[in-house]
Amino acid sequence: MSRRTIAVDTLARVEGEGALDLVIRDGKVAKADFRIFEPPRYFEAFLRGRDFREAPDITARICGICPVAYLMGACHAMESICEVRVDGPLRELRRLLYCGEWIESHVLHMFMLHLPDFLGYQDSIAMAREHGDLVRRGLRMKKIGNALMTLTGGREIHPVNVKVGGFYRLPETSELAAFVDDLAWGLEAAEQTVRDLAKLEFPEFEQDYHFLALRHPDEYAITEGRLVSNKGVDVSIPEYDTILTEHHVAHSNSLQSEFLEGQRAHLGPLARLKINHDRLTPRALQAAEAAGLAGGSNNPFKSLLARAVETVFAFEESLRIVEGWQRPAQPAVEVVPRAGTGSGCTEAPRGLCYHRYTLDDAGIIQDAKIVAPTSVNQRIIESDLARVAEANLDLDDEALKWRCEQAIRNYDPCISCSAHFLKLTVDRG
Amino acid sequence: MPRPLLIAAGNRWRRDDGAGPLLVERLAARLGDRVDVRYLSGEGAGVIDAWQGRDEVWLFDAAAPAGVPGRVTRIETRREPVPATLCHHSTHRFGVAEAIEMARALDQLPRRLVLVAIEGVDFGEGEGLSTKVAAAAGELVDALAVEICSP
Repeated sequence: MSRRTIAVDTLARVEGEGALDLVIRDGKVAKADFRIFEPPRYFEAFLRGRDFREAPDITARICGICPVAYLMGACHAMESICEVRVDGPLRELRRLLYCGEWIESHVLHMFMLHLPDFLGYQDSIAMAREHGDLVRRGLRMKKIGNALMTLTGGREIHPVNVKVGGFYRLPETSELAAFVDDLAWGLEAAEQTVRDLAKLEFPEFEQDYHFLALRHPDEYAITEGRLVSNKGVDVSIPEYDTILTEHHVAHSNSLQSEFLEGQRAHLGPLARLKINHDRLTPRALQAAEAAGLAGGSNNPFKSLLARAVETVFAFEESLRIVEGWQRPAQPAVEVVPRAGTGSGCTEAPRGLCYHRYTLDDAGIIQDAKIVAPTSVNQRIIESDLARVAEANLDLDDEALKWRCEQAIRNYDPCISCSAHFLKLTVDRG
Repeated sequence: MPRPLLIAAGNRWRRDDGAGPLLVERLAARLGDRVDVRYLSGEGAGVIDAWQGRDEVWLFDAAAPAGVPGRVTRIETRREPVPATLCHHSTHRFGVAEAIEMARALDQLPRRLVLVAIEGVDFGEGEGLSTKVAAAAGELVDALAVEICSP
C-alpha cells in the first residue's frame, strides 16, 4: 500500500486555530476530522453569577467579526425572560446595526478571504495587484459597513452601545441621513459584485443539504423568526435544543452540534437564501435571479455568490431604514429583572447564533448556553471535505490542499467563536 | 506645506496596545497644530481610508510580542515591506500590516508612510504601558518631536 502525506501547517484566511486530518485508504476518504485545537474559552461558565445586563457586552467579546450576533442573541434572550419587547424605531436601529455587520463581514470574507481561491491567488494582496478595481470596491463597501457599526454600535469592532432594552445613545436623524449617498453607492457596488462573481468558475459539487435558518413572516430574517428547514422542520426559537444537541468529539475542543438524530445542519447564507429567497428585498431578489440563485443552491462553493446577494440585501435594507427612521424619545425601554429561562437566536453572517440563559429573580445569571454557528457547521464541513477530497484524489497534493481549504472557507468558519487556523494533513495510506 | 498626519492604532485600555495612542497624544501635545492626528482601532480598511489624500503619514502601533519588550521597529514603507507578523490584528487578519501591503498593491500609499511599532508584552485589561514599553515610548517622543516637521 503506498503512503502519501500532505501537511499544511497553517491554513490562512479563516478565523481561529484548527487543523484538518484527512485519511485516505484505497481511494476512499476513511476519515475527515475538522480538528479545532484552540483552547475552550469558558464564556458560558464566567457568565454565571453576572448581572443579566452584562451579558451583551461580555458575549460580544466572543468574536471580533460578528459581535452583533452575540450582542443581539443575549439581548433577545434577556428581553424574553423579562417579558420586554423592543419594537419600532429601536428594533429598526438594531436591524441597521446588524446590516452593518453583515456588510462588514460578508465583504471581508468575499474580497479578502474567499475570492483569492477562485482567482488563483495566495491572498488578497497578491490579488489586488491584478484586480485593483475589485479590491478598491470591496474596501469602500467594507468601510461603509464599519461606519454603520460605529454610528449605531459606538465602534466598528465590539460595539458598546447596545443594551438590554435598546441602546445607550441614539444617533441623530441627520447622522443616519448622512449615509444615504454611501448606501446608494454600496447597493450598486454590491449588485455589480454579484454580476462579477457570477462569471466565476465554480467547482461542480453538490450535496443534498438540510438547510436551517430563521424565517420571519414579513422580512428577510436576521433577528427574529422561527427555525425552519428545507425538509420540514419548523420550530420556535425556545425549541432550539430539541433539534440541535451539542456533543464532545475526541478531535475537537469545540462542541459539535448534531441536528435531529444523526443529521448535519447547514447554516449560513446558502441556507438563508434557500429558505427565505421570497423574503429578499426587490433588488436583492433581482440580483439572486440574475445569478441563478433565486431558489438557493446545493453547491457550497456558491456561498460566495450568496454572500454577494445578501450584501445587496444589506445595503438595500439599510437604505430603507435610514430613509424612514424616526428618532424615538427614549433610547431604551425599561427592563425589570425576572426569574426564568429564555432564549435568543439571530442570523450571524455565518449562520444561526443561539443563546439561552436562566436568571434568578434579581437578574443574576444562573446558567448560560451559547452555540456559535461554526459549532453546527463543523459537521457539514467534515462531510463536504470528505466528498471534495474523494472527488479530487487525482489532483496533486498542492492542488488538493488548495481545494480543501477553499471548501472550508465556503463556510467562513469562525473557529475562535466555536472554541475557538488550520493545519491540514492528508494521509493517503 | 501640508501637515503630516499622525495615526494611532490600538486600544489604550489594553495596556501595551495603547502604545500607538499614547505616542500620538504626546507628539500632538508637543507639535500642536503642525500635525493632524487620527486615533483608530487598527482595522485595515479604516487605516487605508485615513491616509487618503495625505502626503506624509506617521503610523504608530504596538508590535506583537517577540521576546524583546520595548523594541522599536521603524519602517519607511515606500522602501521596505511590513512583515505580516509585526502588527497583527485579530479580525480575520486585516490589520495594519495587511493594510499597508494592500495599499502598496493598490498604489494607495502616501508619498511617505513611516510605520513605528513598539513591541509590547502586556495586552491585558487596563490603562498604562508596561515598564520597558513606557521607557521606549518616552525616548521615541523626544526623538520624533524633533524629526517630524523638521525640513
